[in-house]
Amino acid sequence: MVIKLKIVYYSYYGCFSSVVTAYIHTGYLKDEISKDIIFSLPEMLNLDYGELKYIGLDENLHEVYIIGMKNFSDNIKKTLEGLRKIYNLEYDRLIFVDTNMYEPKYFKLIFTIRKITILKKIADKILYNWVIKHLNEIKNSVEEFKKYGIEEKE
Amino acid sequence: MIIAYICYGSAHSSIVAAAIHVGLLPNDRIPTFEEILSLPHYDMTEGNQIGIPFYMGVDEFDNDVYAIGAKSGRNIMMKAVKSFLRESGISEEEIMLIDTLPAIGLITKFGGMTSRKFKMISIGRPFTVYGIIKKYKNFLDIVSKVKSRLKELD
Repeated sequence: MVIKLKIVYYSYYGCFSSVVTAYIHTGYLKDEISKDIIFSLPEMLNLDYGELKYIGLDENLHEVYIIGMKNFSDNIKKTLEGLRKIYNLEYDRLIFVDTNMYEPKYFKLIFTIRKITILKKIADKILYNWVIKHLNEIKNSVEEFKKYGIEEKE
Repeated sequence: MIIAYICYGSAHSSIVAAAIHVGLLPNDRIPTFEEILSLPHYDMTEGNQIGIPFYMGVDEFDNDVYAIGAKSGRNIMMKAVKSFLRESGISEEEIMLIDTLPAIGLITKFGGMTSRKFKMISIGRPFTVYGIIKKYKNFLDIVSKVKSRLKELD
């Protein structure tokens, strides 16, 4: 039997760590990740709380999404899972993966600084360096999730 | 269609509004203390249940009616629900989300916090009921507006 999954990467903001993680999961981001590629991702730094955004399919044709839920992830996850059952939605599992641990501590400040034209480059550099510094960690967590997380759910 | 009444903790205002909608509470008089206290889920929801859609019954239009808690993130939750259904191929018109928190006053908020958060049920619960009775007209107005919209859609 083919298991269909909706995998949702989420964080407080839903426009940074979850974006990087989701694109790694779908295979769009691999080894060479330039600054241009990172900041050209349509969902990158596009703050839109509560909006579930489709990123793509992974190699097993599971759908990958991102969302920012502030501190309401616990109750929103229960609501979406409840609605999945109420509507008897065809896919078998809705899996939420928290990426908050890969969010810079002062993300909101950096995000705000980025709006000031002359500081944009500095903010981008900080964020890009953050991604590069944590890239292996994120990749490993995605691989681990693919290997064990999905199997457990199946 | 799914009708979901939303409040902070799915313990008071959403339960009362949903109960009026499905006929568990009267729409032509003020209910008694006992009628309110006997409602399913009334002042019973624990913190870890917030977000779970509670089924309250079916209305005269054959819609299933639910009560859902969303803490202070009602707008984010509503957006998440709508985008989630859209991504699942379900029209936004298949669900109606109604915020019921504006219907209650300080008395119910105080009672709800005392009962649910501080677990002083014998003190808080009567306050919640008293507050609901005082503002019952607000609930009748909310449900009446919802039913008018449903009639238009029917």
